[in-house]
Amino acid sequence: MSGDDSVEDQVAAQAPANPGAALKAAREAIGVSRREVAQALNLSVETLTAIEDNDADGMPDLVFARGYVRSYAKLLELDPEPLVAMLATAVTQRMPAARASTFKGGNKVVLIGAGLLVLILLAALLAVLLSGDTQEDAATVDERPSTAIAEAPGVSAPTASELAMDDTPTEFVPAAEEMAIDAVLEDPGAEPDSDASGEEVSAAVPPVAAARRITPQGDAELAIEFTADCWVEVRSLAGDRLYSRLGTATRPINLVGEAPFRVRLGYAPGASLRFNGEPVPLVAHTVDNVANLVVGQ
Amino acid sequence: MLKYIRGLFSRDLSIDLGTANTLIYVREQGIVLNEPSVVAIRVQGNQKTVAAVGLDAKRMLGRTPGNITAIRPLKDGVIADFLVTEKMLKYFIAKVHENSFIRPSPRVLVCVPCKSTEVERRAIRESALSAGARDVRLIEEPMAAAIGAGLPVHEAVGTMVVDIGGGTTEIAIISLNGVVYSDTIRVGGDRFDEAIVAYVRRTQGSLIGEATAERIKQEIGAAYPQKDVREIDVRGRNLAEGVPRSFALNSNEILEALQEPLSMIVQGVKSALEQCPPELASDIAETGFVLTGGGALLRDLDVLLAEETGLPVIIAEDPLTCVARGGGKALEMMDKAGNADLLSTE
Repeated sequence: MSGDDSVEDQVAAQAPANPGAALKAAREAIGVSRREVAQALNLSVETLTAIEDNDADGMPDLVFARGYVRSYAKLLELDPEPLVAMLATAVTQRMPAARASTFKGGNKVVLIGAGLLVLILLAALLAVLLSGDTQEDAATVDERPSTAIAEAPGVSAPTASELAMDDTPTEFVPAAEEMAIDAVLEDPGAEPDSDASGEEVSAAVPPVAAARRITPQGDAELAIEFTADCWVEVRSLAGDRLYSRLGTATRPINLVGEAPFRVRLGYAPGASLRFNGEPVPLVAHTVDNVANLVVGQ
Repeated sequence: MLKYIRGLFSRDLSIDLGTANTLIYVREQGIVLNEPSVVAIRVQGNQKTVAAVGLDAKRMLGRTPGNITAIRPLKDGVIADFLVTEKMLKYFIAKVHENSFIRPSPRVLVCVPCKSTEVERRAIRESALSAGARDVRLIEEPMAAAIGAGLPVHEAVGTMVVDIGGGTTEIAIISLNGVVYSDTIRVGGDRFDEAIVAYVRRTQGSLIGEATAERIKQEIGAAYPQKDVREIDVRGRNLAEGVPRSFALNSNEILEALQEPLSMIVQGVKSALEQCPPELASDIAETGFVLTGGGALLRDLDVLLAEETGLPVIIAEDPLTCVARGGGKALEMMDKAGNADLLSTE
């Protein structure tokens, strides 16, 4: 294992962010396998891999890791001190604060965190309960069948492949007033597969979003609000799919583009459509809860 | 009462009262004193006075005139000369509190070898109390070394520490703030020096002093065959001719000289591993053990131990000060835990 100056220079020139990468580069430069190094240092290959990959989870305690890095560097005839210093920073950066907090006063931090989580969950639960009441009221006013709210979201219309594209969680249903705000301020960058924690937050605090443009030109506005989950698909007249997503009560859809649009609503009783601010009746276009219509023609 | 008031103007100290060096760690300041445990005593008639302590006294070792004797009051990690140890401690404690107007009376934690007897511990305690400490606590050296090295001593995981000091080598297996197994081998840096002196006498027919032997050890000493053979020029008194002569020694010769003390350390480590409970042995097999103390600075000692035991061996950061730093941390831990007996050996 001859670590001449050229190897050291080469390692220094690469200036890797962590000592593991530097050691790995030096090891590979002199053509020594990981197993051989592990045998020489009496370490397991897993530990060595963790050090080389700077894997904080697989690495032992910092005091041991530093010792191993020092021995490893010595074996490869590198200067160990810069690498050991680098390790301290690399591990501190990689270790999340939570892991560090398990040592001193960790219990307090965990307790406060748990308390906050419980509070957030309670707030979310309260919001769900309140919205349940208001939804029913809204449904009665609109003379829609109140059973629609209790029923499962529309699954009949969209094809299996379309459904597979969307795994949006559906547990939170905020008040109708909040929905209206959300409808106007829909997030343009919102992806259909945003995570559940995001939904939790949006239940407590309504998201601030803007209308989404689906065609390069045109100012026709298509706003869809929901009282229940409903698959939405918007195509151009030629049949090109412009937009598709599962609309939920918390995530109304607001689209801007060049009319006309071919709209398909998987569960029409749970959705209300507005085109350029004007409500569009869906009943005439609905068959088996699925509405197919063309707007803006 | 007076001691208590004086204590308000003193700082808590952790003292590593070693055979070779005494280190003092002051809370929130770090290591403030690191001096050889040597005292030079001047004899005038029946009166004995301290001529020098620490570094100054060490320079006098082997070079003193008839009325001055430079002595090391500790031997094998325990007090060999009670009165001189007391004088030395008093001097060091005062030196740490140089800027205070009032005579200090600090709370002191002293590290003791784990195999020291009750009498020896009592001697250390009395000595520290006489030196002005208001409260003396004792901690076993390997425990302090482990804490100083940053090992997770509080966890239910076995960790092994080998503290190679000046007079003794302490081997301990620690788990859950307690020493599960410990052993003391009366081999340390001093024995290395003695071995070098004996080797030079045998092979070169020359006599060298301990200070020269220590210099040889520090400059070219190694525990494992080296790729690059180093050489050093040494002067000593030729026994046959009776005149000082210069000769060269190389690192391989010193390696040969150190074989005996090194094999004793290896044997001690192996014996500790043999007697270790299996669960802890498996922990140690995974993480390896840690070398602390000045002896850990001997070139490639970790390589030798790793080869002999088949375990990963790591050298603690700044091994010389591990024990004193660990003592300081232990003092803080005791205060935080509100339990004065935590880690304490009494």
